[in-house]
Amino acid sequence: MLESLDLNGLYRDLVGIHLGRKADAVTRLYQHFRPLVFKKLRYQYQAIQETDLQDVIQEAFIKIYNTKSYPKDAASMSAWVFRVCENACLDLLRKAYRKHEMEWPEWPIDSEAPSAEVELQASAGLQEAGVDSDQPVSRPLTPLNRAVEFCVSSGMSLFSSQYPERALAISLAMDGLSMSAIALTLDRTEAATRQFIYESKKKLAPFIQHCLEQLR
Amino acid sequence: MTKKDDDVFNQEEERYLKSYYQKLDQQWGVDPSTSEAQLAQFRERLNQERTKNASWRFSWKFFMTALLAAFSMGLLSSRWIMVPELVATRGIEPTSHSEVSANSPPKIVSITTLEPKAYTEHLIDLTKDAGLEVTVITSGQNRQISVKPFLKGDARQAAARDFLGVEADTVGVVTVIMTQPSQ
Repeated sequence: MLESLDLNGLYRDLVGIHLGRKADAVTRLYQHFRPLVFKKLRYQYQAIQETDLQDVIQEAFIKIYNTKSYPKDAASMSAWVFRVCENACLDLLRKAYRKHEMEWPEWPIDSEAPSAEVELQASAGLQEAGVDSDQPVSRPLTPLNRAVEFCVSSGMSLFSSQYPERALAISLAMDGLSMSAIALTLDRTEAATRQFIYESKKKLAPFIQHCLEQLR
Repeated sequence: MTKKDDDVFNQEEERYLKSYYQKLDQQWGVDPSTSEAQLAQFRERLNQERTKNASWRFSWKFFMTALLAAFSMGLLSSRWIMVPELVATRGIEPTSHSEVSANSPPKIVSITTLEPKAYTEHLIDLTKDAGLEVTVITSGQNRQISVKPFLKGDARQAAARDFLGVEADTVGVVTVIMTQPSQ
């Protein structure tokens, strides 16, 4: 997706004086970056509605078209695009907060392993679905087993609300994206991203492990 | 079910998670690529923005051009409006004073006196009926007196010339800088 993009050419057109080429460069940026930007922001700012988010992202790319302050080179352009979109998202949240349309979201703190309360809530999901944790769950995996899915959903939603960036990292890795693309999205180095994904999975495990044990 | 040492989940669990995330993405409206409809919508929005910018730029340019044009017109017209007025106000005598001023260098006379008022009044008396105009500017202890126009061969102005101590053939404006010594 992003790997095939000629960032140098795009950068030249973006900072150049030819307005037609600039508009074309912004359109190409939008086309290639939108899916990742949308996914990142959707995971990070779950309080924002899908349509609002689509709108904010378009608005952010219009800002990119109008801006006079560009990134210093083509290499830093991807991170810049993500930053502009994220700032636009934060502006929307600030506006909504000022208008008392919503409460200011409490940013999750990356704490250590989930509390006992978290594990209890996730287990409750399994029991609610009428699953005896000692009973094996029938396969195949697709379509997803409803009871396990319900348990996993409870655990995952808790995990996503506590660690949105980690949930995003796992999801991007599950999508089969290259490590460089994930690193670009998360604004980390490739090595740091690899480590981050591994640690995120470790953090996720206590939330859903007891559900997944049903699959064994 | 295999599990490598560095893997947190085994293959089956990974497959399960993958399915789960795919479902979650669908639910949250996350799509793997930008659709044609979304792209068309963005293009339209960008075009609107470009049109808005262009019209704004045009109006700004138009405003600047109009401002410059008005300024230039003002400059040009002032030359025609101001100059005749200048000649008219200076034209005390039938002879054009501006012409006399232009052709003769200014004469400056410096005087130090204890009685500036008496000196000024005497000078004004001498310029009466001599076709001369006197302008007095007072600034603290000092005065600047401008006497004009001295005309060539005008006998009525001889007394004033003599009092000011300038040559008999002096023409144009004589400026007197008068200072009062501190007591």
